[in-house]
Amino acid sequence: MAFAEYGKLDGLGLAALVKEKKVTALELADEAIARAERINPKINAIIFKAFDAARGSAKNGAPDGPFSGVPMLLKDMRAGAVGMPTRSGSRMVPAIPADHDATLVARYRAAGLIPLGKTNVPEFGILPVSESKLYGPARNPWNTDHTPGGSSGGSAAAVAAGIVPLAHATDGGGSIRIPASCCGLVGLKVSRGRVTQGPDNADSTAGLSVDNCVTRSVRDTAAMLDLSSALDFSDPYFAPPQQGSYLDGIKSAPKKLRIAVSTTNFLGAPFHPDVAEAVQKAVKLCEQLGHTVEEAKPAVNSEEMTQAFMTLWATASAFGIEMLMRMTGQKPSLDNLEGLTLGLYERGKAVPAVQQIGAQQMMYRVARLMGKFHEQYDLWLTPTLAQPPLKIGTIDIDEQNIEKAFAPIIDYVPFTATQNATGQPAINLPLHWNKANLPIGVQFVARNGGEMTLLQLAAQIEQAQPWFDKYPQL
Amino acid sequence: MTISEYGKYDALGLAALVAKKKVKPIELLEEAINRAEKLNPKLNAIVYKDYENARACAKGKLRGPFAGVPFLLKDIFAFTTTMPTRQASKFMPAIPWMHNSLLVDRFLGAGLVPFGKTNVPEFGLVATTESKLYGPAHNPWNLDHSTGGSSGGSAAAVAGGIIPMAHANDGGGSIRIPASACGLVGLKPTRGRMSNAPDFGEVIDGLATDLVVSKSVRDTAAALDATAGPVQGDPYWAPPQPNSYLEAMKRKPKKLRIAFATKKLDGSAFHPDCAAAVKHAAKICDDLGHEVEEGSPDLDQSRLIPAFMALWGGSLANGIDTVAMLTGQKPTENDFEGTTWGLYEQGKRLTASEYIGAKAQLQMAGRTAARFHEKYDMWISPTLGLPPVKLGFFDLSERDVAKSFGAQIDYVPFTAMQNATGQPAINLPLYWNKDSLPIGVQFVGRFGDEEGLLRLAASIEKAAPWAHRYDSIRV
Repeated sequence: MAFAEYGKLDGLGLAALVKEKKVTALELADEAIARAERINPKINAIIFKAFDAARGSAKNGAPDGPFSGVPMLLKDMRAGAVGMPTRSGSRMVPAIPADHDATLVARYRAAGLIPLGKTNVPEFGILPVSESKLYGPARNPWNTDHTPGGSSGGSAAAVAAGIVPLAHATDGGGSIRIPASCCGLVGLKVSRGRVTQGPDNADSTAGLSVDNCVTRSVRDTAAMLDLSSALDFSDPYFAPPQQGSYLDGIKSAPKKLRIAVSTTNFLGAPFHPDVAEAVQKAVKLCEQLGHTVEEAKPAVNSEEMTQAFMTLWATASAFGIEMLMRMTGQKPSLDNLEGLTLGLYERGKAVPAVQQIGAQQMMYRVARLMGKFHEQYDLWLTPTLAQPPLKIGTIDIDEQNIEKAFAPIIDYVPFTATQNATGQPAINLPLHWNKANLPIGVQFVARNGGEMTLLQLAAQIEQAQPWFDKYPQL
Repeated sequence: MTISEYGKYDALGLAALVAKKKVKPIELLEEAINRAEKLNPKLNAIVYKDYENARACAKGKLRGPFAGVPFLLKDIFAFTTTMPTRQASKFMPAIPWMHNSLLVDRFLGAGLVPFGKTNVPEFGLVATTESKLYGPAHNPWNLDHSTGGSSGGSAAAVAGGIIPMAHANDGGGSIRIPASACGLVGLKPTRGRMSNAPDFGEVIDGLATDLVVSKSVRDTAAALDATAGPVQGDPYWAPPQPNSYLEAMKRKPKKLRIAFATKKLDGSAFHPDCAAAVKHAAKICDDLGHEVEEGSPDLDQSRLIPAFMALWGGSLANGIDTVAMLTGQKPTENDFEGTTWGLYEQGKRLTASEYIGAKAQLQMAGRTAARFHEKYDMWISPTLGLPPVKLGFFDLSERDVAKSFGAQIDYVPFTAMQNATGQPAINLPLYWNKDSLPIGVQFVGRFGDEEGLLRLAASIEKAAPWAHRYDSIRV
């Protein structure tokens, strides 16, 4: 088939074509690879190509599953896949191909998905941009001077540019939702414990970080979660039980929801006018759909939370880097780490365990507070970012003083880390593009375990105000 | 009933009498108090008495599966507005908490009538119940022996006949160890099954959890029904639970594949009495039609125990420092038992990345255990490596953590593993040695499978009942 349609279909749409034998898995893989070869030089989304292996899998016939024959990409963090290295964007991580699939990747393959390669990230996924010394910056397909966000920026750029309909992503502070916001995609951060990180990880970054995907359609996210969320009884803990298939669930509208909306950050500062406009549009949409929206904000002490959050990220980085030191015999320095990462490592390695535990307890207190907040509200609507997507180079990855390095980030990313702290699910929806034609996302936050509510609302909104056909002109 | 028959009933049995109006809650409470007054001087099970609030509670409106049943709370967690919780440490101020733990509200909501707090070792750190603050709890089967720990006061009060069931918690075996030493049922639920609201998200990084010690399996099942279940704000949940464990327990288990341990995880032998108890349990299971064979998960104890102690040490240090901050005290070695101080100092020295590494190691043990359970539904081990030790067996002034806790691990070689992996495990009182001391065995289930454990336990209780054993206790 001639592939004008490729970009007009989501993952399930492409899978349907394969099922109807209108196209083969190999043709889909070839189309995705052709697009990658054409587009990737402009956006630097894919940093490891496993094209031959993908063609091989496609030729052999992908397993019969919901996404049979659909090409996809894996983020360069976790998501270990046979034959592909995973370097987390760091020169310090050796480029050794994995000898086994992560459980999640095995589930992707069993569902018929065909991984084409690995996508760009900032070093260790620490930043809301995807710029690293190892890979160079990923670029936003809507405007290549701008960041696609991070840390799943390569995945989001590849999906937004139409290379693949969906890609794996992870989120430890907003890293699914932020790039989804910057690139105009659907990005669901799942509840803590919803998706296994086995067999090599269990609760990454003290339970802050989770795996899922970025997609163009709500139903793709629903179907991806269906295949990712089976219980693995070797996990240390679980999310609240799933209420049936998400893909089936989104066929029904949500009940009438009570939604809180925040129009300032925790400290009361207003957002960029483009962002404020995006939030107002989302409010209006929700109201038109029959939901109740009122201004409210949980009483989170954001300074304390940011401190605790930084402690957990610093110590997780230190732990990971110390493990690399033992495995590879390297010493951390500016030769193998970026200045910002080195600063974070220095900070993290000095933290005593008692402070680590204190930081964890701080997170749990925020979770209790949010639990109370959601006694009153089904959902909480916030902007995903406080400003439009940053220009590339805004964050100085050479800055070793982490207060200085992170200062621009804290204002830029006002809310997303809260859900990593509490374990709640939250979804970015692409409901607004500013005058410069850059996407401005909003996020909806649900009770812990409330992915179904989020996806039902998302599907309802998608129908009321579709975004699928919006593509950047590259 | 005449009140002299009080001791023959389990908690649900007493609640049924109340429901049929054959006895009043206040009569049950007065009987429990009489027994406490008579027995406690010998057992030292109860360390704080709250009779007046309990009397008011017994005279009030009581609803729930345990309506009117007298009850005791352990002196660790289970915070209440009416009683202090000191964790056997003089460093902890003797003041009530500003609110009830959710667990306490759930106990109250089930109709239980708490009238005191039970004895523990300092901060629940050791497998015996001895402390400078409270002195030792004594084992009702032989007063010279330890009740086990850390829920030793609760177990002694139940085995001694003061009450049929008491609150307990378990961060390394502290429900199962005293249940073993005192001949009781003791279930450690799955990680995330019990909420730690509102004061904690998780306790000791998810190692510790609450429930009860009881005489009957059904009391434990009903207690789990009354208290299990997460709330919004919990950091994570356990896999889904049945509508009612009490109902589920009544269904015979399907044919199970069960492995049993014949040596410790490091390959060394456990005491012949413990071996005999395991053999006995395996035989019962075999007779019930299950497939039983020798086997143990491939857990490397020499690596896991230090990781386990790292989490305990870090959490202890964090806890003591938090109390120090809240009360304006400065912790010194004179404030604590030697074992506590040694672990505190070790915990203070620990770095965050060592702590994260320890946690990661325990989580990988969870993966290993899960692979074992792809083959086996259950794993049987002795709960203890030795029969209940005599009081004074452990030197609690020892500050060297390797020495002090090394001796503990020899005594309790298995139980910490389930705290590490998060799996549920239940002690059942199936065997008594020639000294008439109870030798418990523990059954370990898959993550989330309390139902399987309770069904098996109930069928074993029917096949090899132990209730009559309690008649022989003479305190």
